[in-house]
Parts: sequence; C-alpha cells; structure tokens
Amino acid sequence: MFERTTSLAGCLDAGGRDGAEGGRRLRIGEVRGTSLVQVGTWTEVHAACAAALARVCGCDPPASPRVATDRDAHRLYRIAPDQWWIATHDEALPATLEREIGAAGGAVTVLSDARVRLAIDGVAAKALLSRLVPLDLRDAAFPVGAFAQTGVHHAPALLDRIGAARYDLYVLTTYAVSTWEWTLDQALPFGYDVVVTAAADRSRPMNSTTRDSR
Amino acid sequence: MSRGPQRLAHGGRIDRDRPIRCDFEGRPLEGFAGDTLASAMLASGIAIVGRSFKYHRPRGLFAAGVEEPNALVTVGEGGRTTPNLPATTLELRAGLRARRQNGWPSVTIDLGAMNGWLAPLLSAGFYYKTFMGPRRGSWMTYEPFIRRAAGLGRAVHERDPDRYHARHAFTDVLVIGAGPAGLAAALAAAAAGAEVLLVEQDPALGGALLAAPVTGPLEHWRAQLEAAVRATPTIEVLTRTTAIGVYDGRTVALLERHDHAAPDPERGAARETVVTLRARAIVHATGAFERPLLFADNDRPGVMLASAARTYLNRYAVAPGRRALVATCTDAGWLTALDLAAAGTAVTIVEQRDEVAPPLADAARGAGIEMHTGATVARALGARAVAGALVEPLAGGRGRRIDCDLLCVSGGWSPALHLTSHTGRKPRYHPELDAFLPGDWAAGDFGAGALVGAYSPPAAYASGLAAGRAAAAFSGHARAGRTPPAPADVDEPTTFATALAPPRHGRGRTFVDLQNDVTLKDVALAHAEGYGAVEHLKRYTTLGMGTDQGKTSNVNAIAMLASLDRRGIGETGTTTFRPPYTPVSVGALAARNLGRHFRPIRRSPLERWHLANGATMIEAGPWLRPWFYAWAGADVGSAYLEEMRLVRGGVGICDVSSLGKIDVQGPDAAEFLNRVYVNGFAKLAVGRARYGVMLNDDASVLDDGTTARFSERRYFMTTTTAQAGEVMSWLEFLLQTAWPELRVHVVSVTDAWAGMSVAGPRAREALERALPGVDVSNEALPHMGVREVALDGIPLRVLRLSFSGELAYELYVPANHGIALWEHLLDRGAPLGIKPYGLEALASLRIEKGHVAGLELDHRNTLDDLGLGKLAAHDKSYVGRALRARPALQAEDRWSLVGLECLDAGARLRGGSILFAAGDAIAGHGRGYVTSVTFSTVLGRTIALGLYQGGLRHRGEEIVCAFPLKDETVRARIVSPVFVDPEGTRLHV
Repeated sequence: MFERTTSLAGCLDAGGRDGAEGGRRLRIGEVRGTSLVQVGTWTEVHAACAAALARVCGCDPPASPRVATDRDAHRLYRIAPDQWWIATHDEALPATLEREIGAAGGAVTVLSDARVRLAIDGVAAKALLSRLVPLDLRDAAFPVGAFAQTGVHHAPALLDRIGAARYDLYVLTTYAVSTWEWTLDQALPFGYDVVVTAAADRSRPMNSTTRDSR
Repeated sequence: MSRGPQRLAHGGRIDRDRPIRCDFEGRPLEGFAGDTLASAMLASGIAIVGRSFKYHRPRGLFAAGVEEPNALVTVGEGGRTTPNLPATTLELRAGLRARRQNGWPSVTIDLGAMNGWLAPLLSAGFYYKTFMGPRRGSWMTYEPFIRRAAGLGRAVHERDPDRYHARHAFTDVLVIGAGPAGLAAALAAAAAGAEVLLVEQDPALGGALLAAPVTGPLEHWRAQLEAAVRATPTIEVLTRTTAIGVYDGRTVALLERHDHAAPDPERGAARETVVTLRARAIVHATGAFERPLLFADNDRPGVMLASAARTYLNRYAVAPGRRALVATCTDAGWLTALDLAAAGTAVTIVEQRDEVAPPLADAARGAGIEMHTGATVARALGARAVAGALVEPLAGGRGRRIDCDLLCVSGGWSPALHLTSHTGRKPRYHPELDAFLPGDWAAGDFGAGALVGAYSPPAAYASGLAAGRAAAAFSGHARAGRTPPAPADVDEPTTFATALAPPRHGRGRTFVDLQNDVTLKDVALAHAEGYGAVEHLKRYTTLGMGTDQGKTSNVNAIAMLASLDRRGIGETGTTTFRPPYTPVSVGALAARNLGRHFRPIRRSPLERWHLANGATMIEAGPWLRPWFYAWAGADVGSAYLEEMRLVRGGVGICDVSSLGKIDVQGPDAAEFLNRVYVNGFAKLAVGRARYGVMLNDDASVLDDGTTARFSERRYFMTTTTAQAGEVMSWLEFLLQTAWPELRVHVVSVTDAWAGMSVAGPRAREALERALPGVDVSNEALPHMGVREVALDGIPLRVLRLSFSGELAYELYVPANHGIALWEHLLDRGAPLGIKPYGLEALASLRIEKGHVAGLELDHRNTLDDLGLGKLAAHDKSYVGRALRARPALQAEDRWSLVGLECLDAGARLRGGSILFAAGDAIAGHGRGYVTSVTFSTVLGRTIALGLYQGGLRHRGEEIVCAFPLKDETVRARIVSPVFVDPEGTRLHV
C-alpha cells in the first residue's frame, strides 16, 4: 500500500547527453536500496560498541576518518571520533545493531531516508568531481577506499571512492534534486548516461542503459 | 600572402598556411594563426587603436602583452559582448568580432577630442572639485554623464549565452609563468619527483624568449626546453591560463580561456574556467614589464615599448615602423634596435648613458645604426602619429629633430610582483636594479627569473632551477634528478637597468599613465594639494587604476613622487596590488551559479505531489514550500482565506516537512534537554511531548519547538524551519564544549522524516479513517500525547500538537513514504472534505493563535518580551538563565509582544510598519513595529502581532502604524496577541 518513492523519481527519465567532444564519458545515477545507519557511542563504552559493530558487520570499524572498511553488504565510515556510518543493503541491520549495541552502549539512528546515494562512474568521473567538491582527488591523496565529508553546491555530502573510476555521493534527501541538477549541469561537457542501480549491485560496474562510454 | 602592408615576407611564429579573417568594426581584418588582434591590426596599418580616457587623444599600440594601456577593444555581440579587452591578448580567430572604444563618431574621427582643448580645466581632482554642488547629493546627478564620457567600454544587459565553469585543482608545485625561469623550475621540480602544474597566460611557452628571432640560438634553446617539459608526464601545462590571484595557504585563482576552441555552450563547453588551485609550493616566474621613458607627447601613436616592437617584429613578423628611433637607458633597447635594423628598418639609437658595452656599440655600428649617447628624447613630434623626436643632450645644449615613424622606449624593467603582493607581502626597492622586487617570501613561495632580478636568459634559467628544486623539496620531493643545462650561446646583454634621467620640461603633455590620462603635471598637482602618499596619489589622480592597473606607469609615478618629496623611491613605496592580476569577466566569476543554480533549493519529500496538484510554491529560506493551492483560489489573496476557513471549520492537511527534526539519544538525554530548554524536561513522560523554548547565552530567545519522548533514552525534537541548522549546531556545541560529560548524541533527521499536520475540528475523524488500528481518542492520545505505530509495516510517529490552535496532529513518516501517506490521508479524509493548505494559511492561523515564529524570534527578544516568561523554571539551571536577570533585559519599557487590531476598515496594515503612540510625531524609530500581519477570518478584520514599548501594559490603547516608504498611516488598538480561543478549549476536545 505504501509505495516508496525517492526524491529523484522523475529526475532520472531525462536520459543522457553527449558532451562537448561528442560521446558520453560518464554514467551518473542513483543507487537504490541502501540502508544507512548512524551509530554513536561514548568514551567509556566505545570499545564495547566497536566490538558490537565488528561482530554485526564482520569487520572492524575503521579507525581512520578518511578510509572506509567493508565486508560483504556493509561499508563502514568513521564520521566523527565516536560516530560511524554503516551503509548496507541489509535492511535488517538497524534493528540488529540496536539490539547488539544496546541503549547504554550507543545511539543508533536510521538515516536511510535522509540521504540519497548518487553514483558517478566513468573516465571523466574525477574531472567532474573537481567541479563538485574542493577535494584533492589525486590517487595518492584519495585512493580507492577513501572517503570524505564535504559539500556539493553548498549542501553537505559524503564522497566515497569505491572504484578506480567510481565514486558514490551521499547527499541530503531534501537537497537531492538540486544536487542532481547541479551535477548533471556540471557533467554536460563530458557527456553522460543516466543509470539506476541497486545497492546490492555495488560491487559490479554500473550498467549503462544507453550508449557505451568512451 | 602578406596579410597586411606591414607584414614581413618571412619570419615570425605565425602559421602562414592558416590565414584567418575576422570582423573588425564591420570590415574584414586578415592575419594568420598565431597572430593577436593587435599584431593583425599593426600588420594592416591600423595606427590608432583607441582614444584616450579623458582627453580622447589618438593612441597606438604601446605594448604587446597584458600591460597594454591603449588598445582596449570590445569583443562580441549581444549578450556575448565583452568590453575593455587588450587587443594584445586576443588571439586572432575566425568569428572574432571586435571594435575600438571611446570614439564618436569613430575612433579615427572623434569629436571627443575637443576635450583636449579643455585640458587645463580637466586636471587631477577636477571632478571632485567641480561636481560637488550646488546641493548636497548633486554628484549623483552628474555621475552618469561623467561615467558615460569616460573612456572605457560598456557592458550590456543581455543574458550571456556562453557557459563559464569553475573547478578545483591540486598540485605539488605550481609554476606561474613559462619563460626560461618557469620552464627551468618546472623541469627541476619534476626531476625531484614533484607533480607540477605549469601555467602560462600566453598560448605559447617561452615568455620573453618568444620575442627573440626565430632563427637564433635562443629559439633553439626555447624549443628544447618546451620539448623537455612536454615530454615530462608529471608536468601538466596549462597555456592561455592566467594566475589572477594568490591567497592564503597557497591557494591560487587561475583563469583558463577557451575562446580559441570556439566553445559550444549547448554541448557544455565553457568560454572560460576559474580554477581554485591549492599548491604545496609555488614558483613565481612572472617576469617583468618594460618601463617607458617619459617625455612630452609620449602618447603619440607610434611610441611603443622597445620590447613590444621586438615582439611584433620577431614573433608576428610585423614591421612596427619604417624608420625607428630607439630611446633607451638599457641594453634591452639595443637588442630591439639591432633586430629592427636586421629586418631592414632604418634605426637611430638615443642612449641616455654616455657609454655602452663595446660589443653592443660595435654591433650597432656594423648594422648601420646611427647612435647618440648621453642624450634623451625631449618630445615626440607629430599630431595623429609620431613623425619625429626632439633629441637633446643630457649635458645641455640644443636639441635636434630626428625623423621617425616608430619611437621605441626602454626605461628599465619592473618585475611583475603583483601576485607575490596579493597575500600582503610588501615589495622592496633595490636601487642597484632600479626596481621593486618581492620584499620577502611566504613559506612555500619561491621566485625566479626577472621577478627576482635575474633578467638575462641564462640567469633566469639558473634561478628557475634553484627555485624549482626548493619548491619540490618544500612539497616533500627531493629526489636527485637531471635537468638540461643552459647552452653557452644563448647569452644576451645583462645590463638591464640604469638610473633613469628625469623627464625634460617643455611644451606638450607628458603622460605617466596612458590608460588614465594622468600626466606629470597631475602628479605634481596632487602632491601640491597634499596627496603625497602613493595611495592617495592613486585615488586622487586615478593613476594605476583601470584594466592595466598601472603595469607600465607605477614605478615612473613613484619615482616622480619621490623626487617631489625629495625621498627615496623605496621610502615612497608602492600601492597595494590586489587580485585580479588581469581583468576577469563577470561570467567567469559567476560560473554556473546563476538562474536555478544560483543557490541550492531544499525540497520537501512531498514536493512532487504539490506541483502536480495545483500548489503555487514560494521560497522560504532555502526551502521551496507550497504557498497556496489552486482549489482554494487563483491567487494567494483569496486562497489563503479559504484555506484558513477549511482549518477552522473542517480539516486540512499541511506539509510541515521543513521543520527541523533532531534525534536526541543517550542515557543523559533528559538532563541535556533540561539544561537546553528554559522549562523542565527532566520529568517528561514517555509518550508525551512538551513545548519548549531555548535561549542563547545572552538570554535572547534562540528557538522554540516541541520535543517528544519516545523511550527512556530517545527524544524527537522539532525546531522552527528557520532555526533548524542553528539549533543543531548549538546542541553539538554544547555537548562538545560545555557538557562533554553528558552521554548524549544528537543527529539531524530533518531529511529522514516527511511531516504533515492534520488540523481542524474534524482532524480526529480524519485520522480515525486513515489509521483504523490506532486509537487517537482524547483519552488515548490527549493534547501533547505522542505515539509510535506502524502502518503497513512503515514506522509512523503521531504527535498531537497544534500550531493553528485547532485540534491537530503532526504525522511523521520516513521521507520516501511521505507521498504515500499524504495521499492516503487525503483519500480517507475525502468524505470529510480534507484538503491541503499552504504556508500563507499556516502562518495566518498561527497569528490568530498568537504563536511566535521566525519573525518574532530574531535573536533580539527575551522570553518576557515574547510573553513566554512564565514558562521558565525557577528550580533548575538552563542556558541563558544567568544573563536573563540583567536589569536591561527586565526593564518595563522593553519592546514586547502585543496583538494589534486594525481600526481602519479597508486600510492595509503592512508588516514592518513602525508603531507610534497616538499623538507622537511620526518620525524616527517609534515605539515598536509590526512583525506579522494577516486578515483574520474569525474576526473579520486585519490583525497583527508586533513588538511595542511596554507591551501589554498599553492594552486597549489606540496607536498609529506608519509605513513611511508608502507614506501610509493606519490606526490600530493594542490587544492580547491571542486572537482565537484564548482558553485553549479547541486543543483539548
């Protein structure tokens, strides 16, 4: 009865565009089906909370605020000294975490509907991102696996490099349409296809719905 | 093909196989690939390139680069029009449309030249002295005419159809300038293992080497250096890219120009791109500008920098004249003379020095050049162009006329230290070089080449190598690497500076600043009138302003000022150089931040429904919210009243997703909220909500809202739309700094939940139909009761709260299910007549109820000002409590909240109206102002909330609401701010 509708519904039908030099060097789209959970803890129970996270997710939560860790369906980001994000396509994860961590061990907040996950893939991904975020995206500074909390066109975002030419952006739901339109406008010189993927397909390249990329 | 009467048959760096034709003032102008508009104009015999700023004197090409003061042209048509571009920096390309500026009816025949006759009246400060009266403000009358008469091009109002981009970039070592020093620095830094970005404003690499003969050893060396740079994969080269500003932290603004590629905006190509570059280290290799010599009528077309003449000759294969006189005090002038002579030009050298290096003299003699040493030019001769020069011995004696149609001037070099000055580092004068150099260097900044006084190519190269290595090391790269050596046969004379002889006095005007028509006499006048400081001189005379920012005039002006003050040049100092280094189009600064991208728009999860169902949207801060709906009326004036009646009489539904929503969790959450809010939250029961107010440290009201308790350790806070971000930051700040011991986490969940308010006497019926399994009776869910339920497996939060004063519920559902729930409520409530209502009605309903909102919560009002003082607990501490007791905040005459009833039927009471007591003079700031105003459908009259001195102590008094901008006054009576249901009975049914 209660249909789920993402903020970008209606934005993804416009199709792609050829770039200034012809061709389409990017695939841009929404990754659907991601559950996003924020876990926060406190100093005295930090270790226990981290252990619970590791137990549930199958990998230690990252110590670095710049590199994500992942295992199977789960990808963990340390977003503050005592806070993590877990992106997953396991819809049961929030409940599992609440149960395992317990109210005394930390705070679990579901943010699945608070963010829209965008994917940018292709040979021009880095060039496009240089127009979106003020980050050093050179391989040495931002290797595969790195992430950063940043801003896209004045709205906060988390950028995650999950492949050599594949980046995911988590943007605020209420700014998603604006960020999407901004992203496509900036992508026009490179040409792009619009694609939609499921979170469970994260490990695979994004499927192009139209032409092949250059 | 010659492509112009002054084009040489051979030589140059132009591509004679690629002829180009562009449009110059409606006529074809021909040239070759590699030409600039200026070189094509010169080749075609166009001597007058513009009219001067003030006196409309004819002007010719003076320089060959960004320092050009005269040849400003307007390029493009319609929205693409760009004025004030130096023709010397415009690459010739097919499709280019250009025209000269500041002449009427034409630059060739310009009636504005009559200004020259008025010159005695138009001295420095003329405008300031003349156009100040007769009345105060008269300047505003004159200003448009003065600006129209001034000599710069005009921008247009049409929309520019081109695209402009902005991007970020990072590098280990940025090298600015690709002359011999810059090329060396790039190679050295790359050899040390650094990633290098080499930027060059010119289309070609080589800097000053590009002015050397194309068949000589310097060109051979330049080509070798370029090849080495191009072959180094860790060097990225950006030509046609100007470093326009240097900022803290080695952040550099670059401007990339793409006009040469005929960018198609429809396909996303940009005309220009601004790059925000962060570099770990910077090598400044920006070179130097040649300084002119000063003499009477030194602005005649045909007077040209010697380096420019050499550039036109060797780079563009254009003979700048047939009979040249080179006036110089440096060896550089001799190089130009020798090259001109080699190209067949008859040349005379007038050298201020008594002696020059024997090899130079021998070479000149061998080239048949007539030489006069110990002499200078006293005056240029000719009217519309140079026809000769009056040459006088410096030691005294009679001068003599020497005929020429090209008068090259070379008065030393001024390093281009603008960029190094942008971060506030002052230049320092070096008398041995007769030049200002960068005074000191920030960590990570390095200099090379002519910028640091290494003028000759080998010296520049050596300094570039050293700077490149140092920059690489600073950026963390110190690998031993090889760089090509400088060849032995590329040396040029190294005496590039000498003391400049003072200008001769006599007939004619001596221009210090060609672009702004500032003469020596103007400088002297400014000095005499007390504007002796260099910064004052600039403002008083406009010297150094304009598009060239005094690149050829600054040092000469400073020298003159110093001599008038009998001070040293170094003591006099320079003006402050600020970004941009060269002019930047407004389009490039705006980039894509225009139209719908001017700023991001925040959208409700329900927006698509609103747009599809007749909502007219309105901006509310960053949000786009439904203002009113078509079902209620065609315009807001009628629609919001209908929507208000719906809520007061039936049931309506309103999108409140924009309210701030904060998840507050933790063992100490209750204590935390108890400290944040003025009223008690420690004992708020699970399943209940409470209205709360929080203060800033200074006791002004920060925000109000409702917080619900869903479990022992979890709360759901709502804030006003306007203060959501601020409250979130405030809570984080308190937890991290004031109370780090509290085990609480706060997370913004504004985006996570769609919110909707179902309001009106029949609201409960609507919910009973929509949520059949949920008991929403008054007993199960009383006013301020909350429930968490699941609807079709979807979590749903039901809070019985009211903003309108009617029976009302706020429902929150995960954002992606918002539209589904909204439609479900409308569907099930349809038999009750439920319809959506918008922001205008929402805001009006709350005015009737006397609720304060953003217009009253402006961080200046206290709890008591807003009538909320009774909320504050006496038995606990809370933020703002201490300062709340300040006498000034407890004064009885503070402006505080009142209700206002309009007494003039049909009159319009406006928000922002200033309030006066009856009998007060309508002047000044009054006794308060109207914060919110609406028409009350319940009372049938206009009502308002306002802040009034003394507040409700004046209840019942008649006052005057004045709106001076419209010259309106309206009578009103002070009443309680709660216009509807003051007992609150409707809330508790």
